Amino acid sequence: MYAYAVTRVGSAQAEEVASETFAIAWRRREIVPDVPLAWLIGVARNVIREQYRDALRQDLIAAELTAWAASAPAGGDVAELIADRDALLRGLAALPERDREVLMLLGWHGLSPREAADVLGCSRPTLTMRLHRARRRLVRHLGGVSSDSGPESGGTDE
Amino acid sequence: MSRKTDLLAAMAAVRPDRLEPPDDPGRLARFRAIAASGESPRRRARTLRPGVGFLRPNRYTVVVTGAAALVAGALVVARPTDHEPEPPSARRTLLAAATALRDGSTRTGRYWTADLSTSTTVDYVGETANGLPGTTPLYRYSSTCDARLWAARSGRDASWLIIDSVTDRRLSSADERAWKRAGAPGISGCQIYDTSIGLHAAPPAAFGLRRTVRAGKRDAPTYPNIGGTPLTLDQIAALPADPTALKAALDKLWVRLTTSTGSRPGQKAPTYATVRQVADLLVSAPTPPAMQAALYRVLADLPIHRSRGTVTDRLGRRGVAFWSDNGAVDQKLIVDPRTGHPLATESYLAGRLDTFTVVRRQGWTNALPVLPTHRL
Repeated sequence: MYAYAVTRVGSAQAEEVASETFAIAWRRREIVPDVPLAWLIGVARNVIREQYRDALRQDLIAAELTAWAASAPAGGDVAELIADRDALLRGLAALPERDREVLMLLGWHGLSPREAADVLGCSRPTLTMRLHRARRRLVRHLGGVSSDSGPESGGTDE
Repeated sequence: MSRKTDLLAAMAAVRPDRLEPPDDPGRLARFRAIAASGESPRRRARTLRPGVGFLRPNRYTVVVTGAAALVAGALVVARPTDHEPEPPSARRTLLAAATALRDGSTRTGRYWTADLSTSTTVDYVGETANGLPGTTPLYRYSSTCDARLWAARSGRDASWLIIDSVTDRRLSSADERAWKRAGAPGISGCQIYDTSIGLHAAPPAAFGLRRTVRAGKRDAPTYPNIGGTPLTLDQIAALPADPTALKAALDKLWVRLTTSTGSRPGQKAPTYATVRQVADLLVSAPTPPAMQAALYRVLADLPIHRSRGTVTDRLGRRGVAFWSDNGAVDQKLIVDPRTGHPLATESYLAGRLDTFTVVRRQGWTNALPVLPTHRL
């Protein structure tokens, strides 16, 4: 959950978001699910949405990702698919927030597609569509060609 | 493995370590204290399933404390109910603030700048026929001074204290009438933090600050004052960033200040004096983040108190208040523990707010000061 907050508002603000989220979870502890991560991320998402203006949020995390890219070590074997870690972080920083969020929920925060759909408040098919578009844009930023064969393959972005 | 899956796997493989929360043994206790004290959401949550908006809760049950809040209208202290866990100790909160500073930006710049506003209550006594101060206050007024400090990091640049404005307001209509009977004296000075500034003309005005003081001239007026001792910018820059050495240096300053009144060399400063020194350095002096962190660590080793919850300063910002038992003057230092930045100091005299300073902005910059025409 802290990691999710970092990827939405940057590390300087993440502690505050985590604190607020746990305060809510404590008060509503009787309804917190047994596997609470997705629920907590959903609460954190609302905390962020209420407390941080969109533009400020975008600036915070774009700056953070770019700074990480500048200081990140070289990537490992799996990262060979894309250029390198630096490029991936810069590519994520360049994405619209809605694209970045769906990729991070699945790639960094360990949620299943169903959990991610719950967090984002959308249906599973909508999540699939969002993921497809986000992935395609990321690949484009990385300078590669997406081989996705989703419903919009070869079409124009929304 | 499909290419789609590989992209997410690649992301997982380069997941930054910085997504993990930094080591902070006090975090859980702090979260528990915050969570347990927040009984009443400001607005009722509509629903609690993820993805559906809720409304921001109040962290603390707000209880207005007696005299301080009623008189000052400033301190609104949160007080957890009896069954709730104690909030973090003053020491733990101060160490968290020090850690926040350590982990924050360490960038410096050409100038350290601070925008401060000090409000104080003044008893105007006027002068008697022979030029001596009167013995009975003629009227009372509040005076608010807005100032900017531009302290150069290098001795090659000039440093300035810029008084932007002074606003005097009589406290009552009786005070207003007494002021007019006394000839409606104009503004002749103001107080910025703990330093009184004489003004020979209406602000704005800029005062050049000296970096050094010649031997034997330590009593010459200068800015800032640290615990009653004028310190120059070079002296402040020379203070150690190690907490133990810093405490020893602060003790030495206090002993030097009080030697003439009977203190023994080598004597340690009492807690209230150290708290005052630390607050002065944090609020009014160009201290880099490492020294600010050391100052919080010095405070953390002292037997001081903290507010049970958050307080609100005169600008409406939330922070934690710290103070020591020091007799007649009760000075509170209000700090944002999440960032380590000082927000304000408030001094109470016999339970009544007497003087407060708010730190409107503070930090390093490479910009140059814009100086008013009137310079001293």
